[in-house]
Amino acid sequence: MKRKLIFAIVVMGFSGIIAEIVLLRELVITFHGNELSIGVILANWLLLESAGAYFLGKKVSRAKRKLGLFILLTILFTIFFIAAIYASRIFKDYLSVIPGEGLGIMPMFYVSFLILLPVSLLHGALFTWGCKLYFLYSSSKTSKTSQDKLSAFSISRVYIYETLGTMVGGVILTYLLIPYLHSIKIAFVLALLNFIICAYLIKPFWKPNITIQKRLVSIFLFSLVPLTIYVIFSSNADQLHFMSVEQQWKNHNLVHYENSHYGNIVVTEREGEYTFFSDGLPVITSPNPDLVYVEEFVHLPMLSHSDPRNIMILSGGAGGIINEILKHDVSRIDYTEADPLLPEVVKKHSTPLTENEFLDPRVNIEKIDGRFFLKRAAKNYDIIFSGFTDPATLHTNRFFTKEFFSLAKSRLSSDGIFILGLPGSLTYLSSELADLNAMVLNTLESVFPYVKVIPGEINNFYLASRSQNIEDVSPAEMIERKEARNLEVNMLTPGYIEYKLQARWLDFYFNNIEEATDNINHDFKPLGVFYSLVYWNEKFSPSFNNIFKQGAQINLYSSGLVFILFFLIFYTISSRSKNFRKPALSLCIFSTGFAGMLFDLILIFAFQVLFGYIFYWLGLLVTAFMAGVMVGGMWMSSYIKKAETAAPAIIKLEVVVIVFAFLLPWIFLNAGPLLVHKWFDATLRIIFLILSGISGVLVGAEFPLANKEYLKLSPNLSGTAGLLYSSDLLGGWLGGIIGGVLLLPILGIFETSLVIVMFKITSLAIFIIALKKK
Amino acid sequence: MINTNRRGFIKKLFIKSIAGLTAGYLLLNSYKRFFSDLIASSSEDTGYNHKNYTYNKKVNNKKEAMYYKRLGRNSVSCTLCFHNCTIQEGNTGFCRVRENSNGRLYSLVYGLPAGLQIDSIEMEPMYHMVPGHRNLCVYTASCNFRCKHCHNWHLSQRGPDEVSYEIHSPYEVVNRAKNQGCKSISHSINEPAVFYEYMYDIAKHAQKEGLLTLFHTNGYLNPEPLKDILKYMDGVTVDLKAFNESFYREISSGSLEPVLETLKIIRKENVHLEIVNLVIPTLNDDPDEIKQMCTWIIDNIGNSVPLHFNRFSPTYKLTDLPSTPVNTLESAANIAYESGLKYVYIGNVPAHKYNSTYCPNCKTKMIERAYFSVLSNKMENGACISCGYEIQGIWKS
Ligand code: SF4
Ligand SMILES: [Zn+2]
Repeated sequence: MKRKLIFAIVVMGFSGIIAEIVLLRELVITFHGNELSIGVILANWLLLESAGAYFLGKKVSRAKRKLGLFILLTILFTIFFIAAIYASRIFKDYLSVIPGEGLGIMPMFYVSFLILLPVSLLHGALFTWGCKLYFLYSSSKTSKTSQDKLSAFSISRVYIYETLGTMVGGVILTYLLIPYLHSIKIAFVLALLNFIICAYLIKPFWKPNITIQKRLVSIFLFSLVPLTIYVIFSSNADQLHFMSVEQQWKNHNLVHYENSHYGNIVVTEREGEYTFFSDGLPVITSPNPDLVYVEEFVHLPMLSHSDPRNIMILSGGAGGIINEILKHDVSRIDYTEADPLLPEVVKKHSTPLTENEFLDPRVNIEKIDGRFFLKRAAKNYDIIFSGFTDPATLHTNRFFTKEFFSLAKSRLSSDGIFILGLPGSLTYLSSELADLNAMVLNTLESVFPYVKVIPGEINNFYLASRSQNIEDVSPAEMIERKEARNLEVNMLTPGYIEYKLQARWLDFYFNNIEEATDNINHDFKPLGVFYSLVYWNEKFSPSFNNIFKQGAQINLYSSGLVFILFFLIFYTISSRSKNFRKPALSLCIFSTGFAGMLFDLILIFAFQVLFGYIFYWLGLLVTAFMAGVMVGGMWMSSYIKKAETAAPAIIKLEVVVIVFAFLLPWIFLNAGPLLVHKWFDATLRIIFLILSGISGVLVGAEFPLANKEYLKLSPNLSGTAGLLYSSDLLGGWLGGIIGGVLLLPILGIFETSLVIVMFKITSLAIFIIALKKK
Repeated sequence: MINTNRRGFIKKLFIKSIAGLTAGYLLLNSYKRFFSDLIASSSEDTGYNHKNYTYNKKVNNKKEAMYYKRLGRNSVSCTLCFHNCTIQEGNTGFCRVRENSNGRLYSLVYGLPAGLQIDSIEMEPMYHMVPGHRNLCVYTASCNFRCKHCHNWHLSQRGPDEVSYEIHSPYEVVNRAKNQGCKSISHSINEPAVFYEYMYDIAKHAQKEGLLTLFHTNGYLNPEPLKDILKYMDGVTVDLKAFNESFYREISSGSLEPVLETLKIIRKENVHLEIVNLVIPTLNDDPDEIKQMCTWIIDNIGNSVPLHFNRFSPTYKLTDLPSTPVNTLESAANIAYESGLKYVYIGNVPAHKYNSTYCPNCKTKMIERAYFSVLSNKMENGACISCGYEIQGIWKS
């Protein structure tokens, strides 16, 4: 029985991660995939899961048919998972939003909360129930005296098996499921797995000596298996998928729907016009792109250069840009796109415009992270186009930083031009828009000696170069080049070029950003994410921005004060309680959950900065972290089996976490300059894996220890497991919700680590005081 | 025993950790040169710099509203636009810029434009008014609609205390227009009805000074103020956002009927009118609806009113829609032509053939445009150069 249960728990972890990631991806298609929405969805998941572990989990000690209920919860979980996918596709219809309208942060919050509610609540509860069951099935063979040791041991075992499931689930989902199956099918496969496990858990119906009831349940469970198999292999699952997707894209003629590692791509067709949506947002329109943007973006820099030959486009080149560039006499265009699916789908639904772009022998498409490619490029480019439109995520912010601009500068020929665009206006720049623009301008100016701004009604363009030519070139000269190159353009008439470059637009622009920020965007201090989120949020819930602006005030001193205050309040409240050690222990776990989430975030983020967005490696990092959690958990759970008390070990561990948090950022900060050496590249990747592993070990190790200590104080197993597990998740919740949006962008990785240090010192101090108190 | 041990352990631990931290700090310092730049950045002030302009109630530009009724108990009823707000003491109307103070209604944006911008008249759009001339455009904060696809949402969807402003009397505005070589003054970008009094004074003065005047509106004004302002206006551009009630209700927080009423009044007052219809995929692009709209225009306004079909691209809150297919715009234009309208345009598609003006009689291309640049103009005294057909519009300033 114990072995069966272990399987069930591994499957539980496996199912949890799959549900979490699949639902995140589904929700991001309807929400905007910026750092904030990702944070909100993940945070809701963790919050609900922790509530489930605690509140529903507590019920286990009183429940009569524990195993039966465990099975029921599992079945409900899988059914709600399928329902949640469906709901995340169709909820907009019931939300009385206009088709095509984006959602702000509030609806994002409550919609994802409601959709995730049953799924993650149930999953949280399953953990606690699993602990209790595991304990029950192991305790039959042990003497009563070692009960409390066994409880702690059971919890940590379940924790380990669950983590094992999570790890395997993550790998299988990303490499085997997502590229080949749609979400609904994934959910059915998962349901099948869970049904099999449920049927396997109880005595099969053909065995003698079981009650009618049990026999019926068993028959029911066994019949679920072929039924699900039928649904998977018949067209039913596909039908459900198409039904929901059609409803999600109703009023549109959907011609393509596909997922890649990087996200979801949808193509719609309307009166001969193809629109390509990436995670729900339109990115390419063909054959009639937004000509104003395309012509300005391409020809303004191309005409500012005397003879542009070697061109580089970082993302966004297909569907107009390449076509315009090809009107000049160029020798080569290197075009990078991180998501390999996008160029493939564009090719598949081709129009004369894109066909021309893809078939031209001068065009070289690289399905790779642009920054990564540029770093390895030996060429000197005459023009580098950056197609990223704003730094809304930690991922895209990497293309707006000082370090990136330096890289771009080093890959430009002596009079080469780097160009990027940002949202703009010629009538009014709000302070949010002004800040975003000013920050990018400041950053460009900190790298390039010459930066030319061309303000526009929708897009402001920034041309940067080492050569003064971009400032010296006159509209007349550009018009001459246009004639000489025989450019056939629609909008960029000589009159328009003159109009566009009138000095009064610059006066307007500089007047408007005069009072805006002086800040600079850095790789490891990605302020751009923050400004971009504030700007985005300004559209949907401007009143919320006051909170953001308050948040922007955080620094090390204020966070230090927060922790001192927290310490005092926590101390005064909890020290009165009969057992101060209990809240102190959950605080330790809470702060470790917080640290673990931030370690994970920092490592993934730093890796992207140094090596680029490489899906395969990011997956490895997460897996290493999970494996670390497992190793840490196993290591400590065997330790507590022997040890009488876990307190000293907890203290040691807390200190190690503090030291680790303190050292972590240095490695990245110092690694950058060393990366020029080839040997160092590989070494550093290994170091990243090791660091991920170590941070996992630190997080995983604390959990069994805390359980051990806690159970000494109160022997209630399910209460303890529920409480500590939910503290862990809540810590992760806090780290997730403020980490990506506030801490990392505003403080940078260095100071964020110091915040972790402060938090851990606080929890350590409280724990030590609690220990001293009898 | 255990206790003392533990205490000893803790002590040692503290000493160890303090030593560790100090060592770490020294280490940090020694590495400084490698990443001095980053360290510097991490001690930078990251306070969010926010321009904090707020509407200053003491600015004497606060101007009493021209159209309102006093209702007793210090509440008032604004009769300027179709919202007909009843406003209690101390509150503002739906448009956020009309405030009841002591039982009187005041405009909060009189003389306080968010900006004055000079651009070509084609930008308005206003194609039949002295092509290619410079026009000065006046705009303020806020609006009486809440369109989810507003291009100028930074202005129109904000209250007066959230938008920075300049201070210019109507005389200054007119002077600036003249000094900058503008032939006209327009009131657009946000809904000019919300700064009616300011617009009224500017237009009145501008006409005296020999400038052309126009405004671009959603057409939601009440008939009386509308007629009064038309006396000082040479042209009006009206957004006819859709020809269905639910679009107005759900996307713009307005309604269709009053807009149609406005169109009729402008026609009756004989002021030059152009109509803009932004075609949004799935929301108002039904050919039948476009057909109905064209028929209505011809029956009620006549067939010589210029009609612009503009291309939509995702903005503001309507982010998840495709741009309008050019084919959709072309079929809309064809429907309009077939219904009998004489001047039909396609906007936001640079260099489309329907950017240009054709003679309805002999089909000669008379005014060639690319986007809003005028490339050539083959018109003489407001008439076709080849057949002499008279083109509706204002061709002399
Ligand atoms: S102008 Fe403003 S206050 Fe007056 S009725 Fe319209 S929305 Fe209400
Ligand atoms: Zn003619």
